[in-house]
Amino acid sequence: MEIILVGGGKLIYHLAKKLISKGHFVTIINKDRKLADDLAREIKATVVFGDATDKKVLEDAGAYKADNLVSLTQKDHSNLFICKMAMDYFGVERTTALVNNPENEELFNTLGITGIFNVTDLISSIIEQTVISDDVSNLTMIEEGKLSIFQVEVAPDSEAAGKEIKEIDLPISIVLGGIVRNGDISIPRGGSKIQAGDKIVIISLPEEQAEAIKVFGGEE
Amino acid sequence: MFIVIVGCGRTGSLLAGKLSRSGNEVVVIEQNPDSFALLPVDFSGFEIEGDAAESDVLIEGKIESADLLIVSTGNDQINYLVSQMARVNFDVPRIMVRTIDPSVEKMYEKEERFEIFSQISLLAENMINKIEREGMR
Repeated sequence: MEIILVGGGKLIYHLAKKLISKGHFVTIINKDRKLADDLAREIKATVVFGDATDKKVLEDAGAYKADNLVSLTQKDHSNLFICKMAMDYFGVERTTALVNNPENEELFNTLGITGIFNVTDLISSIIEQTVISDDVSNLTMIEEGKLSIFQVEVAPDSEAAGKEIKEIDLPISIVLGGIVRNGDISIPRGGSKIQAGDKIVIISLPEEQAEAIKVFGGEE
Repeated sequence: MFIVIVGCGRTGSLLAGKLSRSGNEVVVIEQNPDSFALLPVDFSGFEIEGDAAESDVLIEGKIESADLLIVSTGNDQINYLVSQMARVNFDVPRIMVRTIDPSVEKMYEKEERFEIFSQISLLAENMINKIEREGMR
C-alpha cells in the first residue's frame, strides 16, 4: 500500500518504521524543516517538507496514487481539512484522522473519513478500565473503541457466582464468549453454571462494560 | 434576520457593523477579545469570546436558530470545520464562507448550502471586469 503520514514526532517515526517493515510504501509530510530532515535521515521513507493543508504539497507527496492518508496533527481542523482535500482532490479512498475533541468524531464520520482515532476517549476508557478492577484483563477495543472484549474473574460474592447463565440478569447486548476454568475453555450456554474463580470472556459495548464487570466481578 | 458571524477581524467586524445597522440581530464569535475593538461604536449585537470550533461556543451564540451563518476567520481550515459543524450538527439553513486560498473553493462545491466568497478570486474578477468594460487604454 502507498501510505501518506502527516505530522511529526515519535509517533510518526515509529508508525512509519512499522509500516515500512510490513512492506508498505510510506511518504511523510512535515512542516518543520528540522523534523523533516531528521526523519529523512533516520528512515527509509520519502519525506516531504511542507504544509499538508496546501494542495501543492499533497500533490508533491504523491497523493493521487496514495491508498491511505493518515493525518495525526494536534489540530482537529487541520486533520479534517487534510483528509477531505486528499479525498476530494486526489481521490484517496481511505483517510484516517486523529480526533482530539471527542465531539468531532461523529462529524468526521459523517463527512466520510474512514478511520477515526479518538485519543481522548481511548485513553479515558483505558484509564477507567485500570481503575475499575484488577480482575479485568486483556482489554481489546474494536473499531476505535466501539466494541470491547475483555476478561473478568468471577468474585465469590458476585451476583453471578453459583448461578446458571440464564438466571443472571444481563443487558441483552452483552455477549459471553467463553468460560475459562482451570485452564480449560468452554463455550457458554444458557445452562452453563458460573463458579467463583472462573474467568469470563465478555464482548460488550464500552458503555455496558461497567455493568458486566459488576455482575461478575462483584461490587468494588 | 438573525445572523451569526464567526471571526471579528477586519472582514467580520465590517460585516457585523453594517448588518446590525441595517436592522439585523447579530452575534459575533471571536477567540481574541481585543478584536471586538474593531466593531463600530453603534454595534448593537452580541459579542461572544471563544473558539467557534467548540460546539458549546456555537450553542452559546444560538447557532441553532440562526437564519444565516457567516464564517470569516483568516484560516481556511478553521472555516471549513466550523461550516461543516454548522451544516451537519446544527442544520443552519444558509452558510456563507470566506476562503483565503482560491484552491480551497472546490471543497465546498458538493454542498448547496455553502456559498463561497474567495477574496482573491473576487478581486481578480472585479479588476478583469473593469479592464474588459473600459477596454485597453
